[in-house]
Amino acid sequence: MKRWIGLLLVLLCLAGGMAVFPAFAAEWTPVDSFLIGVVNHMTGPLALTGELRKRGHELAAEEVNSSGGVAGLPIKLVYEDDQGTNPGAVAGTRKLLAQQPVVAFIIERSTMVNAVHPIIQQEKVPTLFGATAWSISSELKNPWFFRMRVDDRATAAIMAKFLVEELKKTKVAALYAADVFGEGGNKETAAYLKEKYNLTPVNSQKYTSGTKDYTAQLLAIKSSGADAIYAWGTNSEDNAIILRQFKQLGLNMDFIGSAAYASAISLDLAGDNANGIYSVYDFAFEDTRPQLQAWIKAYRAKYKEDPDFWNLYTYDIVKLVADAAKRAGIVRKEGDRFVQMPLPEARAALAKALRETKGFAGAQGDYSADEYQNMIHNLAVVKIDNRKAKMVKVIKLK
Amino acid sequence: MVKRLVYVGVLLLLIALPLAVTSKYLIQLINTALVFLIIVTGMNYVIGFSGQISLAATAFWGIGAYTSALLTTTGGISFWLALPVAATFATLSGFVIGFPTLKLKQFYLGIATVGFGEIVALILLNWTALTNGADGVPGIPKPAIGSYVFDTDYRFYHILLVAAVLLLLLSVRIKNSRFGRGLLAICEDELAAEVMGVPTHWYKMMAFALSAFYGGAAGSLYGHLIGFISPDLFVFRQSIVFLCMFMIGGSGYIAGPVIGAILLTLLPEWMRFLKGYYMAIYGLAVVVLAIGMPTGIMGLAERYLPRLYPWLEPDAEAPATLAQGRAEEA
Amino acid sequence: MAEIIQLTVSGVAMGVIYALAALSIALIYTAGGVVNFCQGGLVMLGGYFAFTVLTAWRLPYPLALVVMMAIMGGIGLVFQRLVYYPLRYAHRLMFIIAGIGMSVFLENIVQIVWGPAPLVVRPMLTMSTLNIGGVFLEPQAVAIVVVTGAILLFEHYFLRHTMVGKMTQAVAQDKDAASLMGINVGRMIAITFLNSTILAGIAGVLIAPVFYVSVGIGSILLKAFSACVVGGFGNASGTILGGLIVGLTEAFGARYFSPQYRDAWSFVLLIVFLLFRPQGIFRERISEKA
Repeated sequence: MKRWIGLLLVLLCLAGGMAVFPAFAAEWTPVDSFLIGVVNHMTGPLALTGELRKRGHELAAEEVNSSGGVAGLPIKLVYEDDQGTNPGAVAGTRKLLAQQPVVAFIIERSTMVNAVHPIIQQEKVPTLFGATAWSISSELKNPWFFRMRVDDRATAAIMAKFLVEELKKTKVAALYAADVFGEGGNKETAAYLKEKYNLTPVNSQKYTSGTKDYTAQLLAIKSSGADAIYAWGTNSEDNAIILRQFKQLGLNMDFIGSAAYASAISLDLAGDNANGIYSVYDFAFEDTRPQLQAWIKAYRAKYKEDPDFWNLYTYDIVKLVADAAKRAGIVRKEGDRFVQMPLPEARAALAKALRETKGFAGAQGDYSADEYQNMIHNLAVVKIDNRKAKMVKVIKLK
Repeated sequence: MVKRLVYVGVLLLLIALPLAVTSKYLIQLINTALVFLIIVTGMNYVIGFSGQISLAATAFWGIGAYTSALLTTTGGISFWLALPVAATFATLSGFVIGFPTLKLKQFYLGIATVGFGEIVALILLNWTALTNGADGVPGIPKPAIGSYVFDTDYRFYHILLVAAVLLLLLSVRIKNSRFGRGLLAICEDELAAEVMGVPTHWYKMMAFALSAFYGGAAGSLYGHLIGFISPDLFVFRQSIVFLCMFMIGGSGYIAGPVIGAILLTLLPEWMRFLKGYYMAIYGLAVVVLAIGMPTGIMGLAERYLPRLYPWLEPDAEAPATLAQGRAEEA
Repeated sequence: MAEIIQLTVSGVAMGVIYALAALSIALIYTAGGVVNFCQGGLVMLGGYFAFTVLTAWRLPYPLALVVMMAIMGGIGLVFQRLVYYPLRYAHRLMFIIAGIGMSVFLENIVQIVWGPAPLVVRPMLTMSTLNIGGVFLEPQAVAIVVVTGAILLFEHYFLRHTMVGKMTQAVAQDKDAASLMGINVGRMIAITFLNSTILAGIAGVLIAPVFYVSVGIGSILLKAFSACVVGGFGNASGTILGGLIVGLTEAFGARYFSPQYRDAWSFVLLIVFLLFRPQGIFRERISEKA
């Protein structure tokens, strides 16, 4: 009995210690920073990309703050770990939203977005993410979601178009990972090929992420007479092994991969095996867009490495939020202190401003919200030459 | 008599708990802990009472979750029907794995259950036509009674509380039944039990089926609690987590799974401040606990808190001898 | 036809790796009576140390291997003393849990020490892929087979023809009788752990150039178990055969049956063998412990 009471007391203390009554005052409240909440992969198998994303956020926050923040108020990023799992993301999101009066929220990964969707609907926080699964737009239709990378449907269209119209290949084979990204991407690419060009892949190979040997899949593709492969996979080791075996087994055909194939990590691992392949990537280093070049320069200066798409859209997210917050007039200066709209109003105003975004000049491109609240509409096709991604063309979708 | 009153009092307090918990974060954690509590209690039948090594808990959890999710989303069936169907289906799969493994001993059985779990995980991921593959199943509806919808964590808590309490009570009854004692006998010495007339094969299979029932029920509840399930939940790693909850709480004790589940759900949250180090410390803690505290927390309670212990372990008799076992002689 | 040979080649290469890991598991099982769930983590650790020794310190391969063996052997001794020894009379499940906990610990420690990015290790032979009549052979795959073959010969010699080896076998057969015969059981078990960990480390070194070093290497554990069960625990040749069978079945199964269920094959084999022939193909020379 004492044990149960003791446990109960502990739980109550926990509740007392952890419960935060959100500052839901009806007036404008004094604040000392503009809070953006981030649920990021800090531990677990995705920790690597989590670190890269964080760099993007921090670089942007630094720049925004040094040029006046939001109407003078500095931005502050608050992080919670999702441990790389969906339950972790749900717990982290709940914790963050219960304890921190954040105006905007950032999350990642299509399955995590799906998992926190009901929470976001309840809490009504504008949520920005890079997850690219098309089903988020078509199925969830959450008015608080804003996507900051080009979705898989558009990417697939570019991939398919490039294969058929530029590389002039018609006998294509698919090689994709058995996860949301891989399956979604493959589905969209195959659908586009069918609809626009009446083509079906001559062979389709699926693999579970973490597979160490792709001989079976690659041999199947080789003997199917395909003259090009399109590949969807996010895991850099998988990609590197695929490319190595692709070269080793003497597959003499074109290869176009999703963004991860051209990321710095994958290129590091794949080495010379990546030379000659194409990839639909978020940006090209040679693109003369001034904001992009400025970002590349700043990133190199700060981190002494080449940036990646992981750092790009996350950088733009923070910048866009700052810009939208300014437009929404969420923060005011009163005398020598700052006051912010009451939280529910602030969130609604920010969401409205995000929806009304037209032509915000971010590093990757110009951000404008479309009817699905997808914000960015350009991509690049790159070719790997001497271990570096070289621009082939930059494509504007709208 | 006093004991009964105390238990009822505790129950009333638990029912009133949502009034005290204001943080949505905390109540969601408690709900998750309750789901895990059910699964880990189910593990007690197989590992705790009968001493078999099984790491298949996640597979049953997954089967239950998907069955219930698919029945309510594409099937349009009500939660109240889907839950028992899911649990039953999971139970059947428990029989399926229980039957062929009857002859297997010790860690061979353990590996077989791991293999079973992996196959289930692969099927959930790749049988896209049925399970929607990697995309998972979104939009799992919340249960409702008439117009009262359990759409907040606070409301759902009561469903989980009822389920957890009922299933715990069931485990108490079973432990003290002929079946339960038979399981304990099997744990001590299977051959001797057989000789004494315990139908060991049938009982072992029943133990598996029971643990699958619990897992399946928990799966259904979890799916409806969160509203979204995907195959990346039901991986081997999760079985490890459940096993740790089970062993740390104390194998064979009724309250063991309760303590283990609650502790290991809340603990990682408290440890969030450790950032990158927290998983490493978690792993190390598991090793240390396995070496230093093999009987789990309940084992310690039994040894060092003899006056408190009977309150925790209803109708306390000789507990399962799993952790106190000597090495098996060849 | 070339395709079948190619698949065989890749199946054998993978199979030999599984065999190495399986052997390291089997050694501990027969000598200590427990299954080390940490073996995958040890292979992974071997890979990471390989990176340090080969890429960071830039040692030549032969010297690197010796250093690796020393490091891994030390770890094995520590592991045996701190984890196995206290648990030697406890229920088997405890050791399994400790092994799993250790594995989780290792997976996270390596990320902290070496960083989360996957690492590149240079292969043993710096030749490019060989093309023999339409069949492509990766030099590292050849190196793996050759080195593993050498190790297995060594193990065979060690276990059957040296005093120490025979003593470890005696302990595996019957601890009490061995101790009555004057054998220091504790030391023999320590040596077995040493042996097993070194094998795991070498497996890590061999596969690091092929797989890139990351925590994913640990997933080899379950396949190694399958290899053990298929081949039989008590016998080195058994585990090799088991590994080869698993590797080949995977390769051909993925090609001709279903690519995404590739990983399922090792489990299917596992379950089938457990149901119908749990002693494996080669019956144990030592009577079953379970």
